[in-house]
Amino acid sequence: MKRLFAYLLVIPILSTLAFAKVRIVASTADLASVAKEIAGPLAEVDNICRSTADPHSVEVLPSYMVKVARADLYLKVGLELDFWAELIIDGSRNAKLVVVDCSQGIVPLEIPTEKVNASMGDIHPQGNPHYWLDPNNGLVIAKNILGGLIQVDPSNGETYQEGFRRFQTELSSKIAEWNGAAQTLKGKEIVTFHNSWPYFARAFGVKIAGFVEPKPGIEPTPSHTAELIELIKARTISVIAREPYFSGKIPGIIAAATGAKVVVLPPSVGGAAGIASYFDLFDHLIEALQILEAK
Amino acid sequence: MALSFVFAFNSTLFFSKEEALTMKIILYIGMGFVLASVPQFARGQTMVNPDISFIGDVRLSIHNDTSASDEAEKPILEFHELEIGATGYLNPFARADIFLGIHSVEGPMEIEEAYMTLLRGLPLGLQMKVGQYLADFGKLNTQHSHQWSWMERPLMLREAFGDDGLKDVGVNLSYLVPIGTSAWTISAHALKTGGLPIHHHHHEEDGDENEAETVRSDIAVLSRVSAFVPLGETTFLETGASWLRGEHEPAENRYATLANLDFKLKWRPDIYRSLSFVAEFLGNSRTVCTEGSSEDTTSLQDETSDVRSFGAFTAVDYQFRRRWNAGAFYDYTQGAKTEETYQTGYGVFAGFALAEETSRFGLLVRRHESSAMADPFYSATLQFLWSLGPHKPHSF
Repeated sequence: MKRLFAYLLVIPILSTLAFAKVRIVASTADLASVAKEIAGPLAEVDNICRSTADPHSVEVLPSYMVKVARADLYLKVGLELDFWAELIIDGSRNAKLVVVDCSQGIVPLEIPTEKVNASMGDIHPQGNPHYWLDPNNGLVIAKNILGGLIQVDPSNGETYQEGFRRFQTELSSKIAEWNGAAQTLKGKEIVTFHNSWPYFARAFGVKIAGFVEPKPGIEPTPSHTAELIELIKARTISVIAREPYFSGKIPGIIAAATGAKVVVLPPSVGGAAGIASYFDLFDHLIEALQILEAK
Repeated sequence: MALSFVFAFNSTLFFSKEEALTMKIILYIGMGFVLASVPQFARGQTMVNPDISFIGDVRLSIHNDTSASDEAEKPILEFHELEIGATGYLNPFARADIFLGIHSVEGPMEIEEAYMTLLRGLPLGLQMKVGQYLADFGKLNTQHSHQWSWMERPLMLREAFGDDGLKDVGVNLSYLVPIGTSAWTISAHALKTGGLPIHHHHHEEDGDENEAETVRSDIAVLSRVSAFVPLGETTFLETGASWLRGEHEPAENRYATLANLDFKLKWRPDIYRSLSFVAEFLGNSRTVCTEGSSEDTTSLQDETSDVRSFGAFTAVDYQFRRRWNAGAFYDYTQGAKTEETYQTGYGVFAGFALAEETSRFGLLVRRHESSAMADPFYSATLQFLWSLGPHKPHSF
């Protein structure tokens, strides 16, 4: 009888150890997606910010701390986009957690050259944080995640290396494919709601002519909207891109006044139906912007 | 050097009390700006500087309470509070948070909170907080009044602990219990006094007043259990139960026991809309000296009575645009020392943020009633709230 109890106790523990997955929590679905590509079935991956929510304004919930309390690895966007992550990590009380800042090695765009203050709006002093929207930066993100995975689970290091190489190969192939499809976008101007797209614009040659927000994080004002309408008319801009978590009201007014079309551009994996991975994200974005060619 | 100036200002040798206070305020603000501007000149030091922030709360109010000392129906403009915050990590395991409050331009300046938190590394995943802080006797007590659209601390907390709520020197251990997607938190405190106003009523006429004042109250104990439960992707519920026992008449070894139930439900589908509902209930049980006996100075044996009193607060706050919100609240409490007295109030509020949350206007219209007043009265308050400093994440 005692032996039976011992088996009942030991077998589940051994099986848990044998098949224990690395638990990863990422600030955003984009980092989570890259982690899934590298770790495959060896990891359970979750994210904090909902795919359709604004990553700048995440409310810190105790349930997020619970997720992180159970995690081995936390993936941060960095560049102060997910400044809320510190509170979640601290609240988790997880002393063994390895935190990886995925912006390490990224060359940030738009680093302010003068002292930043709140009159400039919600400026990020270390540079624009939407770097995952350049697929070339996807490889830097993947390298950072690979380092974190090897640190928390060195015994499966070779498997993660393989996952990374597979991701690298597929990303190279997809970048070539996206560059081909985006040839028609080169030099075309668009207006966006928030300044989320400088990395994407650099990667695919799209030009950002203006923003619906007068300054980052500041609600549209009537005077700025009027100026933007004049700009769109003067430069015959045909597309106003809006992130799914911003209101469509002002973009709709601008579109009605100018004849431009509002396109919802999700900046994150899961931001629209059919975007299940980092690769799907760029497929979707380039497809959505083909409207520029049609105009 | 700045500290030596502070010590000099504390001395009344060189300045009058008022001058010293004014100069101290200027010095503290100046020190804050100096610290905040250091990164421009010494970039290597930015990693060790705390985040400095200031919150100003200016209020214009009017009321028709004819019994109040200030004249009724004349507007009153006051600098309600300036809060100075300094927060940051001490090392990889601990952080410190300091909030100083200056109430009106004349002062006084006081420590609202100053505590260290051991975040990680303790056994069993415990977290420890040491210092002066707003204890988690309920949810609302842990918050600062500028965080509420209804502007004032609930009556039940003011009646039990004073205008600042349960703010005390203490040690707190808390434990996070993950159950599924919900988060249960168990917390226990040892507090200097439990925040209970101490009463020394005993035989003042006999010349025992000084002796009574030297009697130190026993350490108070507080515990809270709370559960946070996600009810979907955008709706969340948190509920908690708290219990406090502390001495309120140390000379007589009389203890008060207080219990609190708190409840918060919030729906936040996007950055443009949210609806939150909060409700808290407080029960108070204590033995007090009855008034009749204290008048009887010849009696050595006090007459006592048992008090069982109750308080409740509830509010609903609806954010209907990115920068607009409106709501209503109800506030009620019986006396802490007698259930015969009561205070109550209800009202409506609205808020508007100028560009974002760093500058905000609030309007509150409130009806006040109490057993001590012949007639109820109304007040209207316009609040101008601004915050300077780094953005802080919002907690549930």
